[in-house]
Amino acid sequence: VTPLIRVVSLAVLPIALMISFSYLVTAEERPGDGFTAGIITALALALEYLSFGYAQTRRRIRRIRFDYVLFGGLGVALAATVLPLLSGDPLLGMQRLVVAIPVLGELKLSRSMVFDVGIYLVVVGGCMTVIDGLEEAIG
Amino acid sequence: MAAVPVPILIATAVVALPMVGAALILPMCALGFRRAAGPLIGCATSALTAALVVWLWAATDGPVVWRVWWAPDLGIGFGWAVDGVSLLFALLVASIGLLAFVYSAVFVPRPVSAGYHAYLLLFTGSVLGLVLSADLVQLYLFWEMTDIFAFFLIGLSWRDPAARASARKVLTITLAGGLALLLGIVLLGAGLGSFRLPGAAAGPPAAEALHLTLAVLLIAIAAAAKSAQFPLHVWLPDSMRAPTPANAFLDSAAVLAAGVYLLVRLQPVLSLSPWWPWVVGGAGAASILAGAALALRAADFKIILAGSTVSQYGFIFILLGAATPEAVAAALFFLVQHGVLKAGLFFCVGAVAVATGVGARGSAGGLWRRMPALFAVTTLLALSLGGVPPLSGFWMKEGFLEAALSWDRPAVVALGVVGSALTLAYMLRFLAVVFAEGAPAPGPRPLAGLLLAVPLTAAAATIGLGLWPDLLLRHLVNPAASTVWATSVDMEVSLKPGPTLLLSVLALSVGMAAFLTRGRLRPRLARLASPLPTADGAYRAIGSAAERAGRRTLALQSGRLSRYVSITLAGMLALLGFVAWASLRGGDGAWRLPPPAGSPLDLDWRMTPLLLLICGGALLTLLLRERIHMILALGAVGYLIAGVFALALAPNLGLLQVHVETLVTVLFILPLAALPEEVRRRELPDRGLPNPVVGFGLAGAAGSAAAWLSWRAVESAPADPVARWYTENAAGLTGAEDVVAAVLVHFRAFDTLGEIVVFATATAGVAARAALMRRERS
Repeated sequence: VTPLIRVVSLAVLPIALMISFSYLVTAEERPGDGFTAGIITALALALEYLSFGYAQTRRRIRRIRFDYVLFGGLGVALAATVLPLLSGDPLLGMQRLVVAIPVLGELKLSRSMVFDVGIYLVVVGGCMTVIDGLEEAIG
Repeated sequence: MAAVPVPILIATAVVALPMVGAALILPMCALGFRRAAGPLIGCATSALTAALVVWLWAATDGPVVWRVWWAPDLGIGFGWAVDGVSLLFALLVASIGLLAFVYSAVFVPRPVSAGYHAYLLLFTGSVLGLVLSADLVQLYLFWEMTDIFAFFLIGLSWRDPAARASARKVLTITLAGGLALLLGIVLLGAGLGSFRLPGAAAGPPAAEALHLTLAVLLIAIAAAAKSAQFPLHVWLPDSMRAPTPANAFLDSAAVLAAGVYLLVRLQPVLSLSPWWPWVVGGAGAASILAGAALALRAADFKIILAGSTVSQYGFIFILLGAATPEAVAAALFFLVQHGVLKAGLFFCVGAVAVATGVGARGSAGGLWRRMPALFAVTTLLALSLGGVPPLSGFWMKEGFLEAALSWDRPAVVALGVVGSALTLAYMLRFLAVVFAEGAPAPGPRPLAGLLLAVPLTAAAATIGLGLWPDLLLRHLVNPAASTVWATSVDMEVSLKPGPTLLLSVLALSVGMAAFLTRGRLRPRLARLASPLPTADGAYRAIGSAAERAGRRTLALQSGRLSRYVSITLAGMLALLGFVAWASLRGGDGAWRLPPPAGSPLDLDWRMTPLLLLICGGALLTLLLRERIHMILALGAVGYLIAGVFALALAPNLGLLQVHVETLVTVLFILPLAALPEEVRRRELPDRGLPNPVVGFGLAGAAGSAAAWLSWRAVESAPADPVARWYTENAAGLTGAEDVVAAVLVHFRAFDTLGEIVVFATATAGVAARAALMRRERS
């Protein structure tokens, strides 16, 4: 592992997070969705692990319990599933909200976006749980 | 939403209140009220619940049913039905529940657990929800909840392996009954076109209809499992591991009454089947004898009571088998009386156990002289259950005999007399075992007043109901029976000379004689019964057979990846082979693939080099020696596939493929560093691989089969594919411009939800395995 890779991976993380976020927001307009976004984030984190080693990376992000992220994401997705019931829509029914943001245009918020966030969290949490598990299992 | 009637609001509160109370107990414990929280909240909530049920009873004139749709496409609703039947059961459950909680305030179960009161409250709420349900599916949910909370109560001392085994046995049998109930409900609902309770919405099904017969059998099994009827009664003695007040509540009124409730509710429909009297009445008849045999043999005080419960519920089942309005009234009368008496007897046993400190199976010789008050109360209750006038138990036997005589089946009358005689015999034996026989117990400790006051309440009730049985009949039983059959039922009991009285006297004298000559009778009976297979033995045989079968499946779990893959591929091939065979055979088989539509495969020629490279990469993976090279070659194959997707105009898929491939490669590489050098270089021979001929054969066959299936799938695409519909309607119906997103999070969002649940479960499995490996290492 060369210093170059470390620098690159440091730079990649924020970029990857931004790409993930943009995928999440524009999931309904363009290719890319919560699943892809989750994979990208997990990939960037895995790159950190590879270039800085498990221990050092973990020290930096130790507050994150990825199993909580995993099941929290599942909770978010389930909430997005049942919430439409409250307003009389069917399960996973549609609710949307268009918010106009000055300069940037308008942002469509919808039930499906919450659902996508849930998927994103499940994917990130799941992949990182597996990586942590590998670390635990073989050291 | 239309205004909800007041009784329905009360019913909601009745079910919700115990659950809320249970939810409050844990936080209260955390706040430092460890000892007080359970008893305090338990008593307060159950008192409030009982008050609400009484209010509900007073506020309800006629049946009130309120139901909203839950899954309208399936005809499933959710709601409450408040009428005579549900009120009778709710009053019984709430009042005995209240007694149990008051008793539990001073009866400290071992081990001390705040969970005890919480589970008991949750259980109370579930039973109340069960009897108030206005829908069969909803009833099923509450039914299973009662099973689960009873399981926790029985396994309260879970550190004791025997308690765990008992709890598991109870859960196994009652859950099996629950499954039967679910099947029966589905059959019944499909036949009636609705899961509505009470009563059928559509016309009654034909008596000979197969689904009705099956539903009768299944629901009778469920009720027998719940009400501890032969041969499914074997769990009841095991449930005696629960703390005694819980037994008083669960095993006298709540759990067992739920099975009776089910049969009472569904009786008008189910008794159309000619099987009904034989199945239900037959179970009852066998239970009278099986329960009595248990009660006459057992040494443990509580198991004597359990046996007597099995036997008494046998009477109720026979009455339900008769399926006439009068018989239902007699059954409900019997049920309420028995509930009060049996709960009282359990409370007495609890008091004895506390006073002597020897538990419910120790000997307490000569106790009657030292604890006269407790002895008097217990005697009153036991004699009442034995059918001695003028106590209430006398009337329940009278009611049974009267209904049996009017049913005009001599065998049932004879069984009633024998059963009554046996009842008196084992209740006398119970008194003798608990208070007289055996070595003297250590000096009794003074009892808390409540431990005596609670059984005293039951004793007062049995005297009161013995003197004025009409009160119970007029206010609870007759309205309930009238609701079931939608006719006016007017059951009454009175002391008048006639065949019933004669039979009662006969039964009592036979019972007395049997008790007095028990020393001579017992060995003979034991000889008579010993060659019979016991139901408990059957349970054990089934259990060990299941365990053996389970151990056989371990042969599949070799721990070798190649083995797992081989088994999976073989299974896939078998399935595909079946489909191919059915497809080639032709005919009208439902398994046929659609005929080829003849649409030529529209391939981009630029894919050809990519596909060739993919084949090359796959072969290379096999030939490379170093694992890191293998991983990279595999990764290359993945990227090439992404290229194919891109050319096939599936950018979303291509994008995802690139990301997933990268992540998988990283996941492969991460642990590689930790492996020993010779493993990394594949210098050690790979063990456990299948024979190369088998391996290549299997892989080749599976690959060819998959290719064939894909080819056929593309070839026989329907003329109007659903894909086109998705493409055309994505933007209009969902507002998503990206059709893939529209499919993933709108059209097939439910599938997506299922997939992430699977994904989460699988990763949780990986994490658990990893934690296990770490523990093994350290």
